[in-house]
Amino acid sequence: MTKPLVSIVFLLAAALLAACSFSESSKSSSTSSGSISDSASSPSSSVPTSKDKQKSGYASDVRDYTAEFVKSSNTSIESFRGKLGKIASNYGVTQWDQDKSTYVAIGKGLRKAGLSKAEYESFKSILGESQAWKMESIEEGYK
Amino acid sequence: MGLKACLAVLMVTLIFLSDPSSAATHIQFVYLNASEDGAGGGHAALKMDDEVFHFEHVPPGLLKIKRDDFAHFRDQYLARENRTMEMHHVAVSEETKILLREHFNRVLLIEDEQFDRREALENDGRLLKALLQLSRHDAINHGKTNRLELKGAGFFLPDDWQFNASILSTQPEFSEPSIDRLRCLVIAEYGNNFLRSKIRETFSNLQTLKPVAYESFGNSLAEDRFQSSEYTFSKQYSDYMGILTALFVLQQGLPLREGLLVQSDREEFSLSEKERLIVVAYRNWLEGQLVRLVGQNHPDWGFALLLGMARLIVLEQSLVSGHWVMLNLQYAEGSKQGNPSNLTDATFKEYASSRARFSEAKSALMGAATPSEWDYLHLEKTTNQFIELGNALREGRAANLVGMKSLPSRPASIVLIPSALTSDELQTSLDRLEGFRSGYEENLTQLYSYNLLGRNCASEIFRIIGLAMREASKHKTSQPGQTFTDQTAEVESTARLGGYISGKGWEFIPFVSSLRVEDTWRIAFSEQVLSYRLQKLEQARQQEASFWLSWRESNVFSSEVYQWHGNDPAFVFFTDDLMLARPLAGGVNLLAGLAQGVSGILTMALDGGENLRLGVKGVMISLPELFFFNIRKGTFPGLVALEE
Repeated sequence: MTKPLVSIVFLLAAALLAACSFSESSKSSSTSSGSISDSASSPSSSVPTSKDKQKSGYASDVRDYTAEFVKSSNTSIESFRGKLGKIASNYGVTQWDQDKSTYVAIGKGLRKAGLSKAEYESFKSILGESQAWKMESIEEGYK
Repeated sequence: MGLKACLAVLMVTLIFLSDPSSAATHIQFVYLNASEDGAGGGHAALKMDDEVFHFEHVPPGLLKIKRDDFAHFRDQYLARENRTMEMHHVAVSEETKILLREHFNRVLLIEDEQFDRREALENDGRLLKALLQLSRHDAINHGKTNRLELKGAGFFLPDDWQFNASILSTQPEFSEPSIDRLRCLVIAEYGNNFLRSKIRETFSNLQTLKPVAYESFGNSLAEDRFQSSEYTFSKQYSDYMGILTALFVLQQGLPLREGLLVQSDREEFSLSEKERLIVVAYRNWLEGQLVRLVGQNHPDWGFALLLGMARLIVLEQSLVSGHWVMLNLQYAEGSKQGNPSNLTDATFKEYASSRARFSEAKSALMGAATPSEWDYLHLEKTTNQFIELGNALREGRAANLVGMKSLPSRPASIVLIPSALTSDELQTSLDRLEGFRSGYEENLTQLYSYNLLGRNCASEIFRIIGLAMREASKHKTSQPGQTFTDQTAEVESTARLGGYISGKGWEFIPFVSSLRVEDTWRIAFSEQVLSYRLQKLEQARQQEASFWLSWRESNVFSSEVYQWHGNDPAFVFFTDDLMLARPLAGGVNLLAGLAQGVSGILTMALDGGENLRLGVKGVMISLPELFFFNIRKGTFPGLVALEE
């Protein structure tokens, strides 16, 4: 009789002591209407408040995502753009596609991925959509 | 400095001197004490520079990595959740810090894609069900389910707005001059029929959009393999709805809805002649950006156009009124309406610094060689903060700064466009999706299941560090046939961190993990940062150390630091700064919890059981106080810190 009781007490104590924090988004999800939404429930990263740190944070997030994306087997350009839009939105930017810093960061990502010359040229043209200024910016980041 | 401390410093110095390429730096192991929101054993995190990586429990039983900016992390846990933080500064080489940062960030990238896909599949399911109802003319079940929450639509359109092609032939009573001007520029660039044909094309795309072949996704997941999430049915549908809505606004020249602007007639907000020129230059630049956006082949620019048009109107209003006018950020997406900040005592200081930030943001916009959205966004935020803090001071109330760090996104519920697919086709897609989803969910659960005693926020940090150590070891000694085990990780970790913690022992309990780190790793120093309430108490005691202050702040009725709010269960005494009297005060809190629970039974029909839930929670978190253990601290959900 005492053994199961001790086990229950032990488990309750462990449950009390070890439970971790819930995600902020999940706290509100119980009240969500389950409606269809065009945006993710909440970003998994919070960003700095100062403008300079935001710019450098944005550039490294684009770089890191690009480096992983180009090594991934599923490489749809719309998925790539969807994710860039999401990263940009997390930093408060909507005109990311016409921002030079986006393409410089993509170039850095291509460098980080360690691609062959041929692979690099191919991705430069796909991600830069064969537009001169975008491909030049990618080149600038890659160097 | 004692002999032991001198020896420790000497050892650390020798370790770094032995490898000339290694520059000494610190990473921090962070432990947060218990909170009433499901973290009875506390919470653990790893901080590297300004970034904090930690693992959170995601219902219904998954564990997911999160990366926070340290200021945000501190505001959330120390201020809003009112928890005290222990921080162990671990001496490591710069290379080890980079190794760990890269490893944790890669885990984040991989998990983000996997959880994004999970969310996208859920959205696909909801959309397919809604379209199926529409195709079956299931009027009873329509309700609000056949709506799409569309970012930016609320700038111009009310909830429940519905597009149909006949709307295009009606002219609005008033046409907004800024939008008319943009429309003229679009027509000049792309031709007279461009807008109407693009609207028709997008409408047709929405009707004929086909669900993706879920079988082609492949649902095998691995925690070390990055796989980008797909461009799913619901993402495509949302993108097209965004474009359709934005083009409709542009074509009709709709004005902004009421109550979306923030402005002040105060002198500091008036536009100087130089500032007027900057506003004109920025407006012209934005128009050019938006014209290019409309000509793009990708379908992801609906929100950018909606927000851009809203900002064009705002810029025009600034020129007309001669004062800075901005979109109101106060009720931006994700913020809670009417949840005032508690920073009353700091409002004067905040007001002064918000004035400085406003001037700085104006100078940045004016000094930039080319206009940039970054500069405008910064000015938009700082203007909002400066106006609200000024209003709060004049009206003698707490400032409401919730939402003022966000991008203005004002969503609205838009009625779905029915699909041209038959009910049978939609049902088949839904069945396929559900089949795929259940397999995917199962795989995700296998990889990331939250296990209270074996895999939680503390143990996962040590496991990931172990994997990073194995990886580093692999790169150093890549001999064929060599196996990389826990022993390999232990050797590497001892060299890099001063010791090894496997995460498989009692360190799954967060406060034990903090003790283990202190005993095992190479600690340069440790510090404690008090919770918000305890910091405020300490400040007050420096000015007025008295029995009355202690009594006043010991309970919720007379406390000036804490104000009870509906999210906290009812309680009377704070016990986080009491030790001997904790069981007694806990007994009173227990009674308060019981009283709330009993009254909750009576009010269940009115509040849906919320009061009863809070009462039960209050009892649960008061019980440990009877045994000298504190969980409850009271929370401050309205606290919003501004820029660092």
